[in-house]
Amino acid sequence: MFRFHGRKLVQIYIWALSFLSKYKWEFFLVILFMLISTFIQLIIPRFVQYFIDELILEKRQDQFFMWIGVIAGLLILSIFIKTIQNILRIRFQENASRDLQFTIFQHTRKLGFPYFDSHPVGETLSLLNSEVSAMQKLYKEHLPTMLEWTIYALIAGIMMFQINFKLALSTLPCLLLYYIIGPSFVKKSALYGKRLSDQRIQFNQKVNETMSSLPELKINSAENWGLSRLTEYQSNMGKSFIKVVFYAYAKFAVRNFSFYIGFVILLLYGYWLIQRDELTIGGISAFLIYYIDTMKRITGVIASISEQKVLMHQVEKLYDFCQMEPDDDSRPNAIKCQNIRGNLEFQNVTFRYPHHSSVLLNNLSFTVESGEKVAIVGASGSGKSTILKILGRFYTPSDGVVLLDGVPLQHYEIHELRDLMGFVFQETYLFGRTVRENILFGNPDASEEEVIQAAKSANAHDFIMALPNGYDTFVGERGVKLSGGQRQRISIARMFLRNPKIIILDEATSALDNLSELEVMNALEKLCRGRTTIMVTHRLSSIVHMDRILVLHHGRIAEWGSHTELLNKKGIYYRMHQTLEVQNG
Amino acid sequence: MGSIRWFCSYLFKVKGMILLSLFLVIVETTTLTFLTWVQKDFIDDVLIESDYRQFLTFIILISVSILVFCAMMFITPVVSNRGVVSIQSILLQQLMKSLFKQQIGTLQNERTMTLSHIFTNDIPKAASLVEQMIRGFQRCFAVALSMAIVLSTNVYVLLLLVGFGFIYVWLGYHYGRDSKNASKAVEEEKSRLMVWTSVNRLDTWNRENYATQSYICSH
Repeated sequence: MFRFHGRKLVQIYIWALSFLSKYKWEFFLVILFMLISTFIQLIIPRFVQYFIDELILEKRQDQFFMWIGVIAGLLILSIFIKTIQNILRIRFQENASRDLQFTIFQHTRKLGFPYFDSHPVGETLSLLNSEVSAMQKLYKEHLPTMLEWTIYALIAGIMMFQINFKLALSTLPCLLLYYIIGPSFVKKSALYGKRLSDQRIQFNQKVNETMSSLPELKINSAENWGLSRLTEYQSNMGKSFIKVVFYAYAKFAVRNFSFYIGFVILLLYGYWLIQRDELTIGGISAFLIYYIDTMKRITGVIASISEQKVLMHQVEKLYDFCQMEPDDDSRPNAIKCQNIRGNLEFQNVTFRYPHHSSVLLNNLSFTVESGEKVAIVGASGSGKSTILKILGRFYTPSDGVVLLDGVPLQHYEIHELRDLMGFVFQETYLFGRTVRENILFGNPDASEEEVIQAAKSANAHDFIMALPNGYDTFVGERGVKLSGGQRQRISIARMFLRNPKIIILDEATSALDNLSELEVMNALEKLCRGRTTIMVTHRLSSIVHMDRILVLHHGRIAEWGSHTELLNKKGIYYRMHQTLEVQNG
Repeated sequence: MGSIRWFCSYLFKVKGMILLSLFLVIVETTTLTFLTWVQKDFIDDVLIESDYRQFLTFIILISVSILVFCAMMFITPVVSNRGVVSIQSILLQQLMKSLFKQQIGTLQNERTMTLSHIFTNDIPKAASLVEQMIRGFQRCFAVALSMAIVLSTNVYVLLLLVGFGFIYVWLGYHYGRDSKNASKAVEEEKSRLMVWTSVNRLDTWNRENYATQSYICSH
């Protein structure tokens, strides 16, 4: 059984409302207009009372049209004020909703690699979609309505007691009836609401997973498997949804039942009071108008509170998400990356993922001189890629330190540090835009000449010109319209524009055929000239000419030296090389 | 128009549930109108005319109407939302099957997030049309019933109401078009900006600001 901790609920609610603080003046104006329009709405039943008692029953026709005019005028004024109020309300609601979504978006980016490594994309997608919409509902539907209706119900309640105290008291049992039965439905509805919210996140994750793996599902003839998995998640979600609807509407039914029973009681008791001259016909008419409106609004407020409780489960997910701190290891007085030569040194670096016991890098020490080209090889899971993630400061070592030109990486300003480095991955991510825009991703301020020069240096210009629209060719989602080698060369062209001091190659040629590998290697050779280069690969053919090769084994350096030196040692590297030769026939 | 016809073809697959829902909303609306009618007669005949012989009959009629109306209030949405869930499931299966029929090249050209958005956002919204249609029918039925009652009382009042009704509908149609276009644009932009949030490369290339700018432009 779920239950919110009261303090946390308040904390989350205040956090949710904090997005409105920027628009406090608009909010204040909305409240002001709300009060004026509520006052007008509340005064109308008293006019009706006067109208019936003094004009109709007393047959005074002289003021009849004047009072009709007054009531109509008040209604028109009320509509006018309500319109201004709505325009103001929508403006601040939309602005606050935009700020919220923007905050979540920015936070997603701030959390960076460690977050994405441990959370499926579908979960983030759900946060940005369903959970943000849920919180926007607080501003757009619940908060203004709740405020307006509470103000109305309070003043109308006072008016009802003023018309007839006994009659007003007689409505209370019906309110109590709803309070006795209603909460159990509210609880059940909230329980299934939470379950539904969790199931929706799971479903979104599975959808995202399925959409990402559509080609694989087709190739492996696993379409039915993929479909049945999704249907199962959707079916569970559907069952919970029906239960939420059942309890939510059962609650409405109880509410309406209480309302109508109260209405009947009012008719009977009101008639009795009129007979005893304790109430006028105009009085009971005004009372009934107040009763209908007040009950509608009180139950609306109660319903809104319970609906908000359900929404708060979704908002809680956003709140918790925003409380997540990025693994930021920056120092307060970070230094600028000026005159960097590119000397790297790992000093006794140990790394394990947070909350994991297994050590990925174990007391690792090595140096890379400025302009040197070092390859790191080793079996899968030996820690090769982890070294690169530590270099990019996507992760912080558990122990030890990495120095750049003798200064720990953490001492540098993070963005400047990343600008010094250029990454080429096995899977080059190209955006679903044009070739030019993808190259410009390396340096959005580069000129047309610089883009072409970068493409030429990356051996990409010729194939780009052969594309239907040259540099304006749309590359397809993730660059699927280009071959792997072409994508890699665009990625290298980006790097030429970026002009980094240190090049980091993560299995950059591993997914390419021999011909493409040759083309990409030629481009890389030009790129790496005069720059510190660290290359992680399992493709030994591409590291023969590297200055130094480190062989990693279970997170430690097992061997190091040039290609020839390592072959002569006849150790792990030699065995890897032999295996490769056997595989190549 | 084509999309309405396409959607209606799916409605036929859950016609039993839709017909039952329609029947239930008719009962719900008729009971509510009847309840108001009985209350009026109660005030006229019992309270004003002091015809106490009818007192018990009216109380029974009012009580039964209240009970039926309240029961319908939660039975109807449960039935109609079962229809929503069924349509959702049918749409999911149909769309998945048509996706599987596509060439691998075509699938690779599609953005994952755009496709995901269809399943996590567009299908639920399309399915919820079932419930909206039933509620729409309920409103139309309630209007027709009320008009019949007003007609039986005073034809001029009815004409006045119809006149105002037309103005209301015209305003709704006039401004509704803009609002429909705006919400369509918002949905498209929402789907587009999802692409940016899923790209880890933005971090590696230190291009958060670039992504943020794209986000602001699409918002």
